[in-house]
Amino acid sequence: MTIIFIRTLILYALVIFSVRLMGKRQLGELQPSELVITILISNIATLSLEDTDIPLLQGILPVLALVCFEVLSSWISLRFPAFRKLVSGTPQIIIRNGEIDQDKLRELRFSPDDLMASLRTAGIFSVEEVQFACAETNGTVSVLRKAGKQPAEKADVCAALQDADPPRTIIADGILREQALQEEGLDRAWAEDVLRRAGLHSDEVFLMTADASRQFTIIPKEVQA
Amino acid sequence: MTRVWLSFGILLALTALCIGSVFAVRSECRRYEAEAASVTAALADGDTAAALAACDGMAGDWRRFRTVCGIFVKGSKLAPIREELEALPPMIEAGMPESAACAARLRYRIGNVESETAVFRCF
Repeated sequence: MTIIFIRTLILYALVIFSVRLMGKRQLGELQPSELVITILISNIATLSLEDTDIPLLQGILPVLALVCFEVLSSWISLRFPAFRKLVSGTPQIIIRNGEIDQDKLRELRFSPDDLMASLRTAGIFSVEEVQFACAETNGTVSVLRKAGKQPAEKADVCAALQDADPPRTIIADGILREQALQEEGLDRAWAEDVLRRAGLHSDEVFLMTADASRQFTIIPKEVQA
Repeated sequence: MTRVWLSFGILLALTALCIGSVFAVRSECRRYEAEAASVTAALADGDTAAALAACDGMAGDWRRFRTVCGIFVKGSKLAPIREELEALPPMIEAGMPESAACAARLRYRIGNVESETAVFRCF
């Protein structure tokens, strides 16, 4: 039992390290090679966890090797488009000028139901609204609505606009985040001044957010009965 | 780029580990196999005392063999070696004719462990 516990700890740390090594790209939509790696890693880690007869090294080695191959493969893909095309394929246009390319759908083994499901996921319930759709290499479908069906944006009504980053969390559960303050061009003295004026200490704050223009929101902690 | 270099470094380290493990396991197996061969030879000569001494030597070396090979080879491949190793001395002491077969099996099992490192097994 102790051996399994220790092996679990080691493999847990290894899998976390591996996922971190693969980077954020792998945590979102998976490319074909990334999907394969994810499935393989989970299987290898499970085998090594269950079977103490297998040396731990025989579990660690393939996991690390797969992750390293994946990182190197994604780097090569970045440098060489031909390799990227070979490994990940290319996006396929399935609707152009509002016309469904049925041959392409058959080639992709995409049924009309699959197409409609993908459109519904994109918030479109009638195929007539679609000007252009593209099946991405990770299996998702990107859709562009026809001009008349696109939602109006602020720019369309010529509103006076100013681009601004969203507010950042400055205090979370009573803990002040110095780095977030610095990144917004603020400092501890400003935060303490704001809190003093609100009659609060940082320990009493559940959440405080602020942006570069010094607009802030403070939510005090609820006093427990 | 850090991740790429780190991956490259890990791959190099893993390659070195694989090559190193092949040499380590093979050299341990060959040494141990030679000891088993000396038991077989002593039994063939009818020299029970020499066979027992060689068996004792093997038992003493078992921990080292197990440590090196156990890192790289499945435990189920090593367990039969220990079983044969434990069974052999009483058989030799009792003068049982099966002791020669037991020593031969021991060599065969050590050879089995060595063959785990053979590259052709990949296919």
